[in-house]
Amino acid sequence: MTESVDTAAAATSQDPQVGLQAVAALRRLAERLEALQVDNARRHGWSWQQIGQALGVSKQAVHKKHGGR
Amino acid sequence: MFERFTADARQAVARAQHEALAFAHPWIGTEHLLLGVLAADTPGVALLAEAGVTRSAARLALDQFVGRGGFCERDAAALHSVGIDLAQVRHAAKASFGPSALDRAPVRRCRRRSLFGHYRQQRDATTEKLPFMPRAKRALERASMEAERSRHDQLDLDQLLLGLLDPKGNMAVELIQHLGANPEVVCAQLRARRDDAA
Repeated sequence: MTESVDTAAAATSQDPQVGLQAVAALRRLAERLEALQVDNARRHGWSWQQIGQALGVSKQAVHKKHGGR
Repeated sequence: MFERFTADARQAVARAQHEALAFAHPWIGTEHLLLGVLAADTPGVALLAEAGVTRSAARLALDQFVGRGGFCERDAAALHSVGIDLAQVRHAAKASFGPSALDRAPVRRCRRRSLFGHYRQQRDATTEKLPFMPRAKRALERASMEAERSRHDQLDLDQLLLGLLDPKGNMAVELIQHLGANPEVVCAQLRARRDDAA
């Protein structure tokens, strides 16, 4: 409970350093999770088409980005 | 590339890879090479230790700067400020995809190429050869030049260390500076000591 209050307080922090660093870290976190999820989808037999659709990008884009692995 | 390395220097490079894996970093940087060198016992390592740069101190500093899997403490705090608990995300990724899944997930910007430029196909936690980052490659090249200059056939550990102490800067240099030592001074002292010995 106290933790969520802390989070709420910090989220309203106007320190650009913290805010921008959070955005940069979020991007990296999203990249990691995307790699994990795409790998997982491929293992489950999903086509690039399906994966692209789920991610909201073209099948070519997702294949170009993740196909090399 | 490594043919001229002494057994000790090769071991330091192998240790650098272990350090990178322990930090769940998908690359070998100058920071890992430094940690690999610091595990040895050479005049250069002694000089660094005198200046406050020990292996444990350097590891601690690296943990602060870069952290596990490329998320440092400040990243975790920043993510927390927007309501994301990195530890919890890590935990969830581990539950679904296995140990260190999040930290080991490949990041696109880090090209998975070996030192010799071949793209790697397979990836496997234990046998994996991590790619060297550009500044680590540069450090290895500088070490080679160092060995050539000394007209020795072999490239030893302290030459590897001299290669790491790049005036143009790298992560190893930053760690050393962070720990309160001056890389240029260490470099000069080490050169002087080696010249005396020669």
